[in-house]
Amino acid sequence: MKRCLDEGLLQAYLDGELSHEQMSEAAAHVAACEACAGALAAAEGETAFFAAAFAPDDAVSVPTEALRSRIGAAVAQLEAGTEANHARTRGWNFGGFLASLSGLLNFTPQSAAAFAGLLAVVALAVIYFAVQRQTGKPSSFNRGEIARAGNTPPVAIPGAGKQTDEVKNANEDGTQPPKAGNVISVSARRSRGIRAERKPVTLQTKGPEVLPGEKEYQTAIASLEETIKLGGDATLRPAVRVEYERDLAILDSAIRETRRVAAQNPKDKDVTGFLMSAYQSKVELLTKVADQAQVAALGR
Amino acid sequence: MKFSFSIIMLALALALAPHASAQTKAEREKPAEKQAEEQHEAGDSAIERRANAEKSVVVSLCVASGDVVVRGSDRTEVLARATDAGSLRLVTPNVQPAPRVEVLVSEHRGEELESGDCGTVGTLELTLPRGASVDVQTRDGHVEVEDIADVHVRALSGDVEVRHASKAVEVSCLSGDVSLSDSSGPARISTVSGNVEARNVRAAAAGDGFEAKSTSGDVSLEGITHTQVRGAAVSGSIAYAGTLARGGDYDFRTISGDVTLELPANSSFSLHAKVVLSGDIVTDFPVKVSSGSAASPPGMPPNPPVGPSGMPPPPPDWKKPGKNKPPKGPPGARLDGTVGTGDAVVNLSSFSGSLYLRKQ
Repeated sequence: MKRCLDEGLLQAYLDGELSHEQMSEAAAHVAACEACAGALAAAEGETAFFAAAFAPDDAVSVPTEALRSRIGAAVAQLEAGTEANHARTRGWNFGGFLASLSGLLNFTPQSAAAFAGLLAVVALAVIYFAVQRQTGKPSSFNRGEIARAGNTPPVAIPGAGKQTDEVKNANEDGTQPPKAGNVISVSARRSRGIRAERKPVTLQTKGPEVLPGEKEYQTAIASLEETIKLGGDATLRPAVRVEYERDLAILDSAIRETRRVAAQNPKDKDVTGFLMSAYQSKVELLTKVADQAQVAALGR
Repeated sequence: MKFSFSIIMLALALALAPHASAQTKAEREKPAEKQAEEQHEAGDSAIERRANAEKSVVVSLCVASGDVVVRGSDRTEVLARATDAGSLRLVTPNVQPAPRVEVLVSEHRGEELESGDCGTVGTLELTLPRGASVDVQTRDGHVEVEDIADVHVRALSGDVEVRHASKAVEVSCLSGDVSLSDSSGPARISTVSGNVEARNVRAAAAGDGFEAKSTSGDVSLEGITHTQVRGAAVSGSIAYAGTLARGGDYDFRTISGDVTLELPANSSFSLHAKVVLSGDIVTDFPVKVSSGSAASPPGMPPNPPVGPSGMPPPPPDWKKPGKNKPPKGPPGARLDGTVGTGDAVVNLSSFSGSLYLRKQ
């Protein structure tokens, strides 16, 4: 989100009408964009002003975009439920079933022609499959081929097709009888291939070696973040959320930077001390927000 | 005729006088709560409640939105006054005077308030005994506390100002500035995106500590007389001005901000200063460098001492005041040494900021 947030998006952000992802994106953008932060503060001021001015009219509910979408979703759900109920009713209502049959028995020339055509197609299909089943009865080897073909993924894996061809040719020559192991071998190679493709992802997930004491902080942070997430977006006012996101970014940057140097100098207690203090600051920030989420919940 | 009329009027006045007097007395004795409610109903938006309390009463309150002002007084009662609120209640145990009081507010009139509720109020003013302990929890609003012994504040958004606290102070704030002045006792202040400012804070007992932290704000300390002083910031800077207590332990640490100490010229302390990645160590004080330590990274030779032109250079173990930046090479700088007789211990560290020691 590089462009400045428009007025509508800012207002939706203030009103808490954005999705969680959009909210996070908007908060991150506002944290980095002074113009948007100013616009947000102005919008928040205006909102507060009008909220105070129209406080007596608060009882009158005004449909917002979120409300409209909720109503739309509810109506759609109701309609779907009604249709399902109709279908269910049709399924169990013998009278309705007979009524539908009676509709079918009201032949017009067009419907009679269509019905006859449909019957002909179905009959031809049955005959064709019966003939195919008799003439093309697969051998055990072919079953294996079918099995392999069935296992072949739609995406080409380098070497995999070649390997299948090699196995197939060997079988045709009769010099190398097909073994289940070959198939497994191909599969294993494919697996290795897939693993090789995923290797960078695995490395990324694993990351550099975890420094002593780091794991505990990471666990605590994950737990606190989960708690805050459960609290929802309403935990913090938009302006406070912007500051919170900004401070989180500062702390994450500090953790990244100190960690980079600490990884190069794991025996330097000063450096690791800075890393741990950055983690500690993040834990304290998240703890405060988690605590206040509870206050907010009480105040609702 | 005139005489008989006067007699009748006098008799009437005598008959009505006791009734009028009784009415006035009843008005005076009307419960404070009822009076307050009547005031509220009459259009005055402030509600008042009061309760007899011990001198060291513990008062707690939680406000979702609204400003909180707490002041100490010589009276042994808790007086609460809320503006723009619908309900106000003081919860006390069945003991007189009350050892603890919970203040509950709500924007809704006649709401049944329960312990732990956080309500909305315009401004909540509390007058407590000076020896009281107050625990304020707010979500959105400023907090001001004055003349209270023991102060605990947890705030989400809003500034916090504490003055004349005499026993202890603990403030934790997410978004807002924190100011503490003219107080005594142990103090612990932390804010995330605000500044911390503390002036004239004294230790009440030996071992009292002072701690101030901010993530993105600055920490400014002046006239702190505690023997253990800690200051920490992440991206903010730390400034300390004042004397160093004999035997005092001072620790200031930032990640990307600067640390500046302004000390009297006759200060005496041992210094342990370190910059990890980038930044300078700049001192106005002549630091007698400890053996094996210098303003350079480990393994690098210390900066050569430079004497005035034509004069013999100073002893090799004296660092000349000024900028002590290490030569190019591994990042970081360290300066361990003594100023004067080393009566206090000063630890300064920054990951990528600079450290300054200035003479006042």
